[in-house]
Amino acid sequence: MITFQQLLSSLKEYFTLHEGGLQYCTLTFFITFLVFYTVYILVRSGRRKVMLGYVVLFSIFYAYKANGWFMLLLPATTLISWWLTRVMQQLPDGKKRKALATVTVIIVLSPLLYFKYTNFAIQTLNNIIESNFAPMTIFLPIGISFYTFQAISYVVDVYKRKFPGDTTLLEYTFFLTFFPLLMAGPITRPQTLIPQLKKNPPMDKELIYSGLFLIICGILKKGVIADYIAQYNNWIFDDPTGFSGFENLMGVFGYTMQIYCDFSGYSDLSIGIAALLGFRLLPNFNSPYQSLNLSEFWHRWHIALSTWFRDYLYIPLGGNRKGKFRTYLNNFITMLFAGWWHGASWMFIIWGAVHGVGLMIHKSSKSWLDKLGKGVIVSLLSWFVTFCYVAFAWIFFRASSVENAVEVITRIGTDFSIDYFVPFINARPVWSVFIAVAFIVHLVVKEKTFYRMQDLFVRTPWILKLIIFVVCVQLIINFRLESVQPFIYAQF
Amino acid sequence: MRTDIKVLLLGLSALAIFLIYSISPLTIGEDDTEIRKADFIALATPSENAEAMAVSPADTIPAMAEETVFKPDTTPKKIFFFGDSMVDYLGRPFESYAAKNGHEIESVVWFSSTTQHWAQTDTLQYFLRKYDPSYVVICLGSNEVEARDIKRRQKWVEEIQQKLGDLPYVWVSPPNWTEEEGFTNMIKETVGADRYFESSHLSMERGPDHKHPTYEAAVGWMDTVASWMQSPASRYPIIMEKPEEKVRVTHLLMLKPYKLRKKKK
Repeated sequence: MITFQQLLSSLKEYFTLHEGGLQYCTLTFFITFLVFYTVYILVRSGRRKVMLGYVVLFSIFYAYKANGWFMLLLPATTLISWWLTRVMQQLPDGKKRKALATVTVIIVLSPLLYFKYTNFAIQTLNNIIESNFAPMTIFLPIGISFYTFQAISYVVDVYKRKFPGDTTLLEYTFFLTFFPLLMAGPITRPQTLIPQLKKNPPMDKELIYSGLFLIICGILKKGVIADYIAQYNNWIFDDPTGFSGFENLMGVFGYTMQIYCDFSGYSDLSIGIAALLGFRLLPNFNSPYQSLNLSEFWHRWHIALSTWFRDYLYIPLGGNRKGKFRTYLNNFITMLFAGWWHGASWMFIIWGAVHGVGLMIHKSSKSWLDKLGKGVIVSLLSWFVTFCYVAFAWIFFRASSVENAVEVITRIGTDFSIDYFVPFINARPVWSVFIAVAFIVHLVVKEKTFYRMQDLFVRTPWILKLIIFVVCVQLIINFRLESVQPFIYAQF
Repeated sequence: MRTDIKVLLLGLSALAIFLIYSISPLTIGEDDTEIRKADFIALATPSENAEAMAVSPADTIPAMAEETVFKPDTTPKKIFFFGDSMVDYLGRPFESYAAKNGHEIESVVWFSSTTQHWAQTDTLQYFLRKYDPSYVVICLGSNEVEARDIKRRQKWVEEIQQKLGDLPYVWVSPPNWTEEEGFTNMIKETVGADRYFESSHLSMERGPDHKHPTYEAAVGWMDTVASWMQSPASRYPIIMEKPEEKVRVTHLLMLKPYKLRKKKK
């Protein structure tokens, strides 16, 4: 039995401890959100500024739970970027305006470079000049990559006059600190969110219930499938030599599905929670493994990030306006940076390079590929090649080192036997069912079908919604058990 | 009614359902089909208490024992050694130790077994009746080191403890080859630090599967276990001097993997 004293101590601990933040698929977040939402319903119909202030305060608390006092970086970035952009916006076109925009971007980018890439730079330097500089103990604030990119998009869009610079400090703080976007995005453009802050969010039945539907999808993807299948995938990548080629291949396919369910599940939860609050965010994934080529994959995978890199790196580099060679090179450079953004490790850069090379190959052979037509066999082959290439690239993303990645590939190439199929299914029936169902649903459900299901859910009676929600949460309790796999993308 | 209020009510209703089920004595289903309960108690328990509870009183015993003149029990024991496939490796050198120190030993390897197998079948009672041991050694947990349902497994460890009753026993932890989620710590906390031999810090040569030690490496593992078994760090120190020569293995029984079936009511 829990005493009142213990309860008080727990509450004190809740408000003072800040390890890891409030992960979505936990009881703690569920209860916290219900308390927050109760007050939100009361304030949302009142004054707009009170509503915005309330959400900002909660978001700051949410950031504190994730990063402790390092969360102060967030209001600092907010204040500096807002003020400098405001000054820059009042300047006429010319060198001064450009210089101030550049300085603002550099200032906004500096904490990210310091916290995320200092040790990477030290280690690279040590390798190149054979020096012995000791790595520093640096805390990487959760979500810094995401809010930094949001701030940059605001500065650049105001500079290019694509977005008016009349955003108030409160609206801008809301935009940069909005808690559903804080830990792992999706990176949201000012054009998407800030205009919605100009008036109180509407009580749109369709939007709110669509949000609930997305939350349920997110729970199933992240809390049930990704967390469960991660266990086997971790064994494989921890020690690929201890498993057969077939098991290694299953580990690679498993990770391919895990990272999709993990991140798209997280995005669904974020977009869904924003929708419950009355804010409409853009989708971040569109069945990426249905893609028939790599260019299409990047139009469907982590859309917020790929469009960010397209608009703020690829196009400024020249995009496809400077001839074929420059187009391929720009693509490759963009993918290298996209890889590097994911983490301060050469493995992510290799992953980016693999995609860069793939995109170059696809673009250079596009005219030849188009001649093949769009028949069933060509489509199936295109899908198969694209999927295998994407899965192959994930090996470098997940492996701890080049040796580890090579080991996985070597085992698949040298120790593969289909005889393992039946024993594998017998030994890991639940894992196999999860993977099979996840792939089938992912590959079969088209965008239209998804929205039809969403509409059906919106029209479902309240009691049925409750039952569906309870069943999904119970699935997490049953499958996740004691511990939570952190969101893969939270570390970026 | 407004949609946002309806969604709030939905969330509160769901919370109430999980809370009521969590505190009710009723549990729906059993074993693999059990509908598990949300852990509201852990949520309301401050972690300082958890840390305090984690340090079991047994953790302090070796320190106290060091203050007195230490003598291991030199009387011959009837040792029953059971567990998973690791017993196949430890059990062989264990027989040499038993022969050297005048103990009798019976080892039972149940391949692929887990705490659940030994807790929820009558296999353990059968062998306890059959061998009537005066000392028990367990090496179990290799097939569940990555388990995340720690609390569930703790019940099975407790059931094994109950089956052993007053018999002196020690638990040799699996020689971990991977990071785990707290399974071996749970065993240590449940049985007590002085009944628990920690193998995870040992580095040993592994076989082709990278998990089991080689038979040669298992001899070194057994030497370390034996040294601990006769030290004051063990709650029941018995004589375990190192043998000069190997004996032929004759008391090692091997059981095939077994799939647990649902209990019939």
